[in-house]
Amino acid sequence: MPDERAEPDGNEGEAEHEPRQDGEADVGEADVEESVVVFAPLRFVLPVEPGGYFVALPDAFRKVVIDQIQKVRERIMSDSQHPSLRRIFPVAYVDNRAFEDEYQRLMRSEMIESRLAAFDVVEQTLQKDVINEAQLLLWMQSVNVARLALAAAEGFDEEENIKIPSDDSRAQSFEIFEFLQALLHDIVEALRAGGALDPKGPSR
Amino acid sequence: MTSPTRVDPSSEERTDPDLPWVVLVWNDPVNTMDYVTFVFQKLFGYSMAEAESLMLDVHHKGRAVVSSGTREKAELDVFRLHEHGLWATMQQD
Repeated sequence: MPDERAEPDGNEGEAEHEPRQDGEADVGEADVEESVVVFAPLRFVLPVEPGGYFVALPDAFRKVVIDQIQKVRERIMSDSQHPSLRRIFPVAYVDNRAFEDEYQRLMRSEMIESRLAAFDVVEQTLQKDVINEAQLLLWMQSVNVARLALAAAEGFDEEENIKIPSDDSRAQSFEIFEFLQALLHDIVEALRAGGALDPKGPSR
Repeated sequence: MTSPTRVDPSSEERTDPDLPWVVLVWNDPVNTMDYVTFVFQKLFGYSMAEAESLMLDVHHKGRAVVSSGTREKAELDVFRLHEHGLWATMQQD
């Protein structure tokens, strides 16, 4: 189980910045002297109002999200038994085939319906800047499902702490996988900060 | 990696209605530690400390029992964990 709290570039514990909306980069003094532009770390999602969450995803990133979700949707619709979907439709009973068959007969269609309904919400809210907690929770589920499906399709789920070299044919897919992981991390952090675990409701 | 992917047909129908069912979450290299902790808190109302402890059991021991009860309750819990992409199974204690 990977720990997404460790920054991929090793900058653990680096101060986090508010997302910039003007498309400009933060440039420190040292960076100016060396003519090196350094982009500030972003938070993709932030709690902004009671029950509301600001989604600071550039359009290109939103397209990645929707592309990945649509790929999973198409796979589910065409063949829900496809090997790349094994992680999003796991077994429930390891040691009892009769119970497992019954569980799958009763629950599989409900699970497919649940997944597709969550995808619908992501697609419907993809262009919004602010979404509510219920919508963000479905984003969370959908982004994780996209990660799981991508990992299974590309073999990223075969070992712990997998690293893909830049000249590997799966390098681009791995970049998408890591982006989805960062987005998932920010969604979880935003939900925590926004009071999603507060039994009395949003705290902000 | 431990994985609950195979069904053992030899143990079919060996269930005792008096025994409670337990829900297990298994380690996997894709779901992240923070995410798993959050899901445990969200679905079962665990405190941060309880959820992190269970998550670390999953991570280090390969699996952890996250809930228990009747077969119906366990099936619902497994379904909700599957909805969130966690590798969950159920069995009698």
